[in-house]
Amino acid sequence: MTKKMRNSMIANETVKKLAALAAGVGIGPLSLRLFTVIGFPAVSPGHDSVAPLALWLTFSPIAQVCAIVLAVGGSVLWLAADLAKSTRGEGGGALNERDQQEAKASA
Amino acid sequence: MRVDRIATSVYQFVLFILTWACTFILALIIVPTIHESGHAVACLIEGGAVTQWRPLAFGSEPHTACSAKLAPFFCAAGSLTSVVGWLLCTYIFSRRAARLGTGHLWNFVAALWLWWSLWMFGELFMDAVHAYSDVPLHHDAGYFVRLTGITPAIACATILAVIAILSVPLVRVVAQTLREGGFGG
Repeated sequence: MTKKMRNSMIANETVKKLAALAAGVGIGPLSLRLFTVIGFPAVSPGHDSVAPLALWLTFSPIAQVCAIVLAVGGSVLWLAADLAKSTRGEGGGALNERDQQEAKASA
Repeated sequence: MRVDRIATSVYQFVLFILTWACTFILALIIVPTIHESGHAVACLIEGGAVTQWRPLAFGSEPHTACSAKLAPFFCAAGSLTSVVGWLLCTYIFSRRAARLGTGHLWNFVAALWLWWSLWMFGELFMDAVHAYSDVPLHHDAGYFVRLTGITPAIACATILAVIAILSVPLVRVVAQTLREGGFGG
């Protein structure tokens, strides 16, 4: 029972880490677009350095749709995993207390 | 009690969004600055004077102008400096970042490093594409191909090979960071 719970917690941690990475990668291009909308100087249509890529990430519909999917999907998963961890953490604590009481009783 | 838990999760989430958004912009300032600094240093090494140095991609095009005659070294210096800067940053990040603990500062540095990597790899990929540029004005790789006289396919293949080689430390450090709980996970 405890092993199953531990495996579940490890899986939950992995999901949370990957969800965080996905959400973060999506948030970047969206933030650039948002900053541009609120008046931050836009990325110029240049050819040197990272300018062409930044411009594409900011204004390409494909890039923006991918960013929204990653940001929303990752965020929902991240929040769900975080809440599940908190809930399970409390349950795990209760389990530990019960184990401790049983150990005391057997001693 | 449950409300407290939800509030904590939401607070962590807002902090997470701010971290990723700020580091994205910060990396977009750092990477072109390193790139243009490379051009500027190459200009000075070639005995010229830097007549124009615009490092930022916001509002105006990142650009470095040199009084010396345009040379292949000057064209390649931007991306070469970016690669060296990224390797140094990755080495320091992978070796020293553990000292930052596992808190918000660690997440901030991890996100900044990931965006730095994205911009650097994106820059190299654009260089590979620009090697075929018919109008090489402002395209470093296009100018390099024209000045050296090598075929665009060789230049493109070399850049793609560099990307493949640099992907090894990238994947290793991403995996290491995920294991250590970076990126806000």
